[in-house]
Amino acid sequence: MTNHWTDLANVDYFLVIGSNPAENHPISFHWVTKALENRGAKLLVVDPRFSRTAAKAHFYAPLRSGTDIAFVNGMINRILENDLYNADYVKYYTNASFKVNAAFRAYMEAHTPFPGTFPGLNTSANPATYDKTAWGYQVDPNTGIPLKDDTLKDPDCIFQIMKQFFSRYTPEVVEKITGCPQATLMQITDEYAKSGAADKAGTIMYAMGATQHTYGTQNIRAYGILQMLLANIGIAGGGINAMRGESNVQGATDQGILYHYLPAYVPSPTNTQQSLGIRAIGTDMVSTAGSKVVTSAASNFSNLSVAVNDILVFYAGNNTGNGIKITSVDSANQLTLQYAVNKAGTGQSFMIIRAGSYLAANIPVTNDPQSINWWHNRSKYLVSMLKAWWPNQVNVTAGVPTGAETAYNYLPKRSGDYSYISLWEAVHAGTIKGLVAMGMNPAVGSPNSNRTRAALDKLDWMVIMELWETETAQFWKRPGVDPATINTAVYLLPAAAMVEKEGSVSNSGRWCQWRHKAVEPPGMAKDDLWMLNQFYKRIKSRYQASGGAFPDPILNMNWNYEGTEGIPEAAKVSRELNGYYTADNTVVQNFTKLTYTGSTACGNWVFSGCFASADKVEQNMMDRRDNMDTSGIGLYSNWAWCWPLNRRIIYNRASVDPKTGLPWDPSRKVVQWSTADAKWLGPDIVDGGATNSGIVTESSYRLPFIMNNDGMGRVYGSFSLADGPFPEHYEPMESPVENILHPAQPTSPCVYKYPGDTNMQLNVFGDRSKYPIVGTTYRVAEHWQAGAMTRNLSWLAEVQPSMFVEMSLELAAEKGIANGDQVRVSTIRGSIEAYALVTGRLKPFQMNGQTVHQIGMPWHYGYAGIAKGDSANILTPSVGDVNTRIPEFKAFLCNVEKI
Amino acid sequence: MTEKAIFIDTSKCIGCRACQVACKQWWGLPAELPAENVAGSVQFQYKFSGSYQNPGDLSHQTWNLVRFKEEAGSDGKMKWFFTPDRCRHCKNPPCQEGCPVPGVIVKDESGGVYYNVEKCGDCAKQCAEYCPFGIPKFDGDIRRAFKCRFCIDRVHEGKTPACVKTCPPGAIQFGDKTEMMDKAQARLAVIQTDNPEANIYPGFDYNNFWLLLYAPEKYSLAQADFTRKEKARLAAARTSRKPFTVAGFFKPLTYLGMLGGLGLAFFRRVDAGKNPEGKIDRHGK
Repeated sequence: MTNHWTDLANVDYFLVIGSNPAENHPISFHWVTKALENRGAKLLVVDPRFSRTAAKAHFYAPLRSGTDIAFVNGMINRILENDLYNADYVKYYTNASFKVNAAFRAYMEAHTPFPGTFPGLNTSANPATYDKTAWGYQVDPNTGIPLKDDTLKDPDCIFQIMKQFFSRYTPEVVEKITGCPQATLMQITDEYAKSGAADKAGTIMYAMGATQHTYGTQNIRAYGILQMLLANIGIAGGGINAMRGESNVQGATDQGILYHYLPAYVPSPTNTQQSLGIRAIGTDMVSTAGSKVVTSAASNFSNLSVAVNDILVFYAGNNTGNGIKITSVDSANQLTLQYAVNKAGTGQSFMIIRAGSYLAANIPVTNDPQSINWWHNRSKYLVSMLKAWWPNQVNVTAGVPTGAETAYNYLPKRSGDYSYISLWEAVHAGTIKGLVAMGMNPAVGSPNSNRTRAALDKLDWMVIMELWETETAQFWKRPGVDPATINTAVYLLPAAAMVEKEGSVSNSGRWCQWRHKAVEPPGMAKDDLWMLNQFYKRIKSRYQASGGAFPDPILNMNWNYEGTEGIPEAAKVSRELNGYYTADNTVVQNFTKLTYTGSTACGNWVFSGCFASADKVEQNMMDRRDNMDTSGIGLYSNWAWCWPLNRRIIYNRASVDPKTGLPWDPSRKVVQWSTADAKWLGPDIVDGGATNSGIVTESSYRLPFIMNNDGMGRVYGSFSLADGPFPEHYEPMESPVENILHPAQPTSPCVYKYPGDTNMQLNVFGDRSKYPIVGTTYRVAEHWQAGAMTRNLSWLAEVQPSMFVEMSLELAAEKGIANGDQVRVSTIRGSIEAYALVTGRLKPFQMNGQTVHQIGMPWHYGYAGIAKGDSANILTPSVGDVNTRIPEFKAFLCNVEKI
Repeated sequence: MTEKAIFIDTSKCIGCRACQVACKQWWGLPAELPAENVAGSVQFQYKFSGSYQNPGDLSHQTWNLVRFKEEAGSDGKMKWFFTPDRCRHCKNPPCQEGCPVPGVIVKDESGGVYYNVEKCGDCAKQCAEYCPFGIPKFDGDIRRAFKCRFCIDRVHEGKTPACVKTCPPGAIQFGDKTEMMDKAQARLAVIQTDNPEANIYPGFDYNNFWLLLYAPEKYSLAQADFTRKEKARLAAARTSRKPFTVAGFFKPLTYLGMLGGLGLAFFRRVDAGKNPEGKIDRHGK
């Protein structure tokens, strides 16, 4: 969430799409209901199925599963066509005025109608990839700063390109794709577009209904663009709010559980990044504004080994955040730079980064003096993390943390695809022989779960930490399997439940809340930290006793979490996450104190500040319980602690009018710039530095989107996405219809295709003639994820005791199915049995002259627990999102018949 | 104690059924999972109610039930009604009139109506038959009647009923009756602008009332039928069966059952019913 749960009370217009908060995030309705009652807020719900959330909506739009982009692009088009966007916000805070390389427009003009592929596609690779050169900005050849047209009229400027791009999504076309009547689309758009007014706020609440598609990331891009156009990012009651599916999944993500991240969103190294890359650090570089040649007067600059293509990054001084490529070095160590340095000045600290290194790949650069480009600090975060993990290795020589390279070498270098589906394929292939599953039930939660279950059969061993004997824990005796044929050694470690252990829990709104142990765990159950501590100690002792390949990272690791009697304490972990000064072992105030010299250690920079009330003053900020709100907008800033820096609404610099520095809406003040004080005032903690001006005409003005190197909210871009600078409608891998926009390119061109297998379970997609019905999966209020925590409780089993399939009256009549009948649902991958729930809440879609039926079912059930049932994921395909590889659970083709 | 009331604002109810589960949890009521009798079936283990409404109706083990009903409106738009159903806590409870044993059915000073389970005995179920809404449910095994107890134990400790405490959107509210009436009336005035059929159900003569957006039938809430009492009387007279006998029905088999698994549930509930502030087993399933 850019905002947070309590902030939902500040909303005027809710757009609920790809989520069902009344059922899946019921506590959100504590705050939604306040906004509805106290502000007269409007609730707009877009969902294939009339859900319990839809039942509370002022406006409801049905759409076929998997067509969110067409729907939202239709909204964007209507907003652009009718000038419903917030012109000031778009001009000052987004990249709409930036000019794109002429080659991009040339391609788009030459390829009309749009063929479904952007310029630069290389289809010979799997997955197909884009050369994104043509997507880039035009930059000033002397300064390196992107060229803009503030009138938004230049044909190369993003605003014009986007108007052209989205113009294809007319209400008629959207209706043909989504099945949503065009009048409904227009009504929802016009209502939601009212949130574009300076004194109105609109929020988007989304969840897995948005993300679990092959183009899921682009769904979210579309939401982001919509929110930018309507000036809804950074303000109270606005934002783009991902409602996380589990209570601490935000915390898990923050701690680096995703395969491509170390903790705190620092990318994990790849095998092409064999060095960290700190070549030299120093201060007092003399530079001349406007000059492409810089020299140094400082002694620590004289012994630099600098090479062409190295990058010079400024960390303090007038050019902070700028990073410029070195194009030549002369014998006097005079550097010639790719672009001119913007501002002259002494006292500038800098780092020179080796070309081809990890840091060169992961430190975004800019030459725009107004861009804070926060990620230029990544070197500080990684070096401090390495210092926390291997303190004795990260040594400093002549001011350079040379030992950081040693510690960096300890990090595994990513060489393959470690995404979820691919891991299971590696188990199938025998590459992975062992599994540690902590609170994870893949036998129910995995796509194509028959295949996952078969993969479990191939493991040599499995350790599972669980509250109950879940489907995964008992995969070896599942229905239809002879336990004698399974050779996997299975260890079930009884785990403590949430109230039986201590630690921090991070919610969707980034609030880190300390939870105390209420009761002791039953029997032999232990908390996760205890188990992990044992894992580490026992693995280390094995290495100590008998050596092994590359023992150094294990043997040298800093591991000091034990308190009295050898019991590990969560608070000690939190203290390390907060960070400390290595000289005196006192806590750092927050991540602004971190350095790249090895003088600080910090396990997770976004958590820095969670364990310090001031510099060197230790306090568990997450344990704060002051529920008085003095902000007037429900920030509750003294309740628990929120990353980053206890900032409750991120990108909040964008909540003010840059002409005045004052809030767009004075009644919902998040922050404001005070010229008299020459700093930002609260109630919230401002993004990007308190003394950088918020008034665009002042010299210290800084752009609000500090995590983007261009400083702007991107209505075009994200250069980090694999599949295009704009979201384009593609069909799911299994679709009941042609893609009417580009029949030759129906699905996303960049989907990774797994090699086929003999069981016809992988890289096979159902034919619409055999499987004409759209299927989707979801959760219900009464059960939780893969069901272990709820299907084992009789009271929750009682409220949804059986697996069911929801279908329309029309489809039921066609198939001769009555409510409560036992039915079979099948896809090309497998089939399940369930009760039919025939309801008027699902309706067939009329699209382009064709009737398309859709059915839906919960994915909670399995063969263990009190409430048992077939698992919906037996039906879902093993194919993932282009950018994240999250499986396409939400749209597939199936058929249904009465048993 | 001032008179209290529960006010259920259905405009805020999201049908999550947290109240239903909280009720079971607080009172330690067992789950109802009727078997489908499909041998060896994993997927058809339990009977299917045909909707999200589970169990299908109020029972001696389910005192608060969220009812679901859907309807396609005349404008073609879908509507899905849901609201918790339970005892209305009448001003002059007809069930009390019907009960032959003094002291079983108590109208508390808080406004709540609760049944003293240990005094409740084998009878002709007149409480259930006299109730204009058909709320009290009879446990055929131990031959006692059960229904919502207004969380009388919690209320006397200054707490809100369990359903109120747990309701995420704050649809179920609790407080002084006058305050609840004021709230309901103020809310009705707002809601009526968009929902002309909005009404207070069954009325302010009760200590549990609803703000409904539509007629009660839409929510499967029974309209008060005060003729039930008369019909029950007449039926009793026709069969000339004695309205109650106390010990006669306590057959040896019943005692045996009480000593077994059923007995555990029985004693727990008896314990809960001993007095308003009595100890409660909160961990029963």
